[in-house]
Formats: sequence, C-alpha cells, structure tokens
Amino acid sequence: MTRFLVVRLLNLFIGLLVASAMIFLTLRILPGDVAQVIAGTQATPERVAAIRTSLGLDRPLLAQYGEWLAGLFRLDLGTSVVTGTPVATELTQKLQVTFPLAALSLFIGGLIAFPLGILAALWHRRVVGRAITVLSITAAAVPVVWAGLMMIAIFSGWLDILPSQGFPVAGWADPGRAFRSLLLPALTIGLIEGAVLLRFVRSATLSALGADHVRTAAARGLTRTRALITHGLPVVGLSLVSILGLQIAALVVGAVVVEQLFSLPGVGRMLVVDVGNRDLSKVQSEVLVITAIILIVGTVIDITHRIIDPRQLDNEAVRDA
Amino acid sequence: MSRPSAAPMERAPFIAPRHRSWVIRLLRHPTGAVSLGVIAIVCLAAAVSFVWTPYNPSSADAYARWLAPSGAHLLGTDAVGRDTLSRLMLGARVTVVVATVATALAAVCGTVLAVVGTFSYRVVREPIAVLIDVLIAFPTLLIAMMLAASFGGSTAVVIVAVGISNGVNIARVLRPEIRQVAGSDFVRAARACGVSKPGILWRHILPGVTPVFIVQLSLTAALSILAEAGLSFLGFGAPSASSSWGRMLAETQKYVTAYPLAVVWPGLAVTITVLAFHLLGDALREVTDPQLTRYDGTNRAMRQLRTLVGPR
Repeated sequence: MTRFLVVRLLNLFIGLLVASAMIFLTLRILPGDVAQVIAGTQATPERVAAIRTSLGLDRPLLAQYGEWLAGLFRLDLGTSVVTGTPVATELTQKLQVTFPLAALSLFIGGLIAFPLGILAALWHRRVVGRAITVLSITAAAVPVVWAGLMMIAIFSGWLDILPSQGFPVAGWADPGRAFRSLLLPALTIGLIEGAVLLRFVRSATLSALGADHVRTAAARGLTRTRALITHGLPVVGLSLVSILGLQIAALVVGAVVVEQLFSLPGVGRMLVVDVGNRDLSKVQSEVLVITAIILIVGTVIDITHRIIDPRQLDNEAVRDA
Repeated sequence: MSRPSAAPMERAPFIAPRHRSWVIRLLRHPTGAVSLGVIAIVCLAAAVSFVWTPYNPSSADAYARWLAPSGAHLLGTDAVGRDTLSRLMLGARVTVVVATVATALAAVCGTVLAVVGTFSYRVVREPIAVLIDVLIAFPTLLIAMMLAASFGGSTAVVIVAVGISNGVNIARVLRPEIRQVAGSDFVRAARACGVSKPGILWRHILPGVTPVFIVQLSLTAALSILAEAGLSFLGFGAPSASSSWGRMLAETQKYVTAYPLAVVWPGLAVTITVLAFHLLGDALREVTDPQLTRYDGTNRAMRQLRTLVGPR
C-alpha cells in the first residue's frame, strides 16, 4: 500500500510537470504573440519590441518556463498582461461559481443515473428498461449547447420559472438567487452526464446480476432484487468510482460551454474570454490549473478505489509477481 | 520447451478471416443499417449542396424573416430570412469534413502511438506511456482552446484538437489489445516461420485489433461532430460567416425564447448524426467481435416477425 501511494504520487508529480511543459510549449512556440496584441495593429516594430522586453518575452524559453514553474511552487500564477490583475485572485473568485456548478451537475447526474440505470438493468427485457436505455443513448448524443438552449426555451421562455442569464452580483451572499441561477446550467450538464453515467451503471449492474455470488445469494432464497441490493450493488459502486474520475473532465468541458451560454462568471467563461484576448500567460496558468484538478482528482479516486476495494490488493500481488 | 495449455483468460484465437463478411453483416444488422443510412443521407446532403440547395443559403430576404416551416421553406427561415434547410445542407459539408479528417488524423496518431508504444525500445516506450497518461487529462476542448489562443479559431483547430485527443484515447485502448494479440500463439508461430517483424505487424497483429479499432473510429467521428458544435458555439470553430451547425446554434441563441423552433433544427441535425455514429459503433462491435458473432443478420424480433408473416 505504501509503495502504491508513493508510486501514484510520484506519477502525479511527473504528470503535472509534463503537462506544464506541454502547455508552455503549445502556447509559446506557436506564432501568436502577446506583445503584438497589447501594442495593437497600428504599433511600430520598435514599440512591440519594447513591450516584449518589458514582459520578458525576449528571454530564452527555458528561463521563462523556469520562472513560471518557480512562481507555481509559490502558488503565484502570474498576472494578466492585459488587465494587470493577479491570476490566482481572479481564479479563486471564479471557482466560487464553477465548483458549485460542477458539484450540482454531478449530483443531478447521479440522481438520474443510479436509480434509472439499476432499473434499466433489472428490467432489461421489459419495455420500460429498453425505453430507459434508448433514451439514455439518445441523450448522450445531444450537444451541451443545444440542451442548454432547449432548457432556456422551456424553463425560462415557455414556463418562465427560472432565470436563464447571469449570476447575482452579491454572489453567495444571496444564496437563494445564486442557487436558482445555477439550477438550469447544472440541469443541462447533469442530464447529459447522467445519461452517459447511466449506461455505465446499467452495464455494471447487468454484470453484477450475472455474477456468481449474486446468483448464489438468489439460490439461497433471496429475491433477485434483494440479492442485487445486498450483494451486487457494492461491487457496482466500486466499479463506478473509477468511472467518476473520467467524468470530471466531461464536467469541466460542460462547464465551459454552459457558463458561456448562461453568462455565468466562472472559470470556463474566464478562459473563453482570455483565449479571445490571446492573453497567453493567463491562459497557460488557467489551463494548467484545470488540468491539475483533473489529474489530482484522478489520483485521489485511484487511491480511494484502492483503499475501499479489497480485491485491488490481490491484483497488486498478481502484478508484482 | 513445453508451455502450459492456453490460459483460460486468453481470448478466442482469430482463426476465421472475417474481413470480407463483416461489411455485409453490418448491412444486415438493423441498427447498423439504419445508422449507416443516416450517415449516408448527411454525406449526400453535403454533396448535393455543391450543385443544388432549395434556396441560396446566404441570400437574406427581409420579407421572409422567421417563417414557420411550410411547403415553400420546409424548415422555415432564420433572423435574416435565409432558408434553414439550405443552410443545414451547407453545414453538413463542415460536419463531413471535420468528421472524416479528424477521424483519419486520430486513426494515424492512435495507431502510431500504440504500435511504437508497444514494440519500440524502452527509452521510447516509457515516455510514450507517460505522454498518453498526461494527454488523457486534456479534454478536446482544452486542447482546442490552447490552439485557438495561439492560432485563432478555425475549423482546422477543431480537427487537430479532436485528432490529438482522440488519437491518444485510441492508443490507450489499442495498446493492451495489441499486446494481447502479440503474445498469442499464432504470432509466435508466424515468428517461428521466419515472417519479418513488419510482416507480422501488418498481416497478423493489426487485423487482430481491427474490431476494437473501427469501433473507436466510429466513436471518434461522433465526438468530433459534438466538438465542432461546441467550439463553433464558443467562437473557436468555423468562421462566423459560415453555415456550420455549431454556428447556426450560436446564432439562434439570442432568439431562443422568441423562436424556439429555429433552435431545434441545427441541434436535431447534430444529435441525429452523433446518435447514428454511436449506434454504428455498437453495431460494429456486435458484428466484428469474434466472440460475439452468433449474429447471423437476423435478431429475435425479426425472426418472430418472419414466423408471423409465414415462411418465404
């Protein structure tokens, strides 16, 4: 176990380092230039060169990368060259919108996926089970943008019960309004993620239904449903823990689109604006933070999986042998 | 050297050359045939749009704004009076190009990464493994946005981003499959017969992983269409003047409460096409997986239908 932890954390560290290098190279080697953007199209070459020097863009790439990394270790994500505000401050502020949005989306997704997925597996030969499966396959093909637009058309256009744009200026000081403005966006992501998750829940439950220990429990006199609940579902839960790690990336992507659609001041919208401004130094820190979140959540889920699933220990023994 | 008899976990050997027949079995598969039909319609619409569309898709008509679907305009018109069906046909071109090129790029990236990552020297293999693990943490959207920050948004950015991220994903799926096939007895036999390494790869290993590969390609095509819609909506995909489905969704955003029907069409086009590729993937999995091939082109429901109709 200790060995696993050390290896996993070392992998995470190497992964973060490689990710930072790749982000840096993608954003610096390619031709876009912040200095040109700041100076504007009318600027003389001398002016552009002066700005480039003042930003340190004329120094060797390795020195720039080293400086950025050193800053990261001090939790300093740099400052925006366009607006002059520190990136870290803005990011923590925006996370207050994005994090609750992602959590609420995941909650709604789970609320859809688990009961319906188990039902679809239990009733996989009946009409209801098949209908759930077909619906989930269809919902998984819906683009997030379209789902959001339809949500707006139905809930704020036709029924007129939920706001479709913006987030209260007071933020979470006004919890009721803040929650209401997150509800439609979260429902949009939650429905689609829920549909994707449902297919995993269904197939995990189906394989649990056919598992030997569940059949044995049923043979001992339990009903099929009871056997599934007491003996099958713990296994289903375990296999889904690892799926959740993959879904985090999908949540991030959903958040970027949905925040733009519903004008929510979150991390995704910030990234879209900065990419539009070609504020490369800011984009590089933001992308790294998002990637780091995905990588760290993946590692945490891996470790949790290892701790709560006793079978993993056997696998480890097999692999080491 | 005696080896213990084949381990029970080993998958069924790839004996029968099914390469000629799976296409036919796919056409006989109900969802496979339907999804292929839908994809064919989209391709056809894109091809026909070069020579004919019901109206000129870019000509505005101030007297024909927001027309409801009718005989003249089958799917109605948009904010400046352009025919929606004509624009959808034009948008199908973008979809076809993005899906084809991005999937081809992902296929090449994925195969090269998987093959080199399995058979190369350790100094090459290990970094590739790390690279795959890290790139998995970059969603398509994030890669596209980084590229857009440097190059500005374009359809090419969408294609490259989808190609890279899905290529990595294909490599991740393909690597264990390749390793498994490479360790099987018929590959040993081929090596013992003196077949060259490229020969073994081309004749024995790659055909063995084809089932998994083409399913992944189908899913990649689906994801590329979704990515195009999302990125064009964010303004990093197709240029604003074009008629891609994602752009059409973005344009209708302002009018969604007033004219919800206008939003329905491009979204429906994306959903149906993506769904077709998803279902094609499922059908391909059933038709090509040697372990699942009890499929004889009919299913239970069809057989029941036949018995109701009577013998033919």
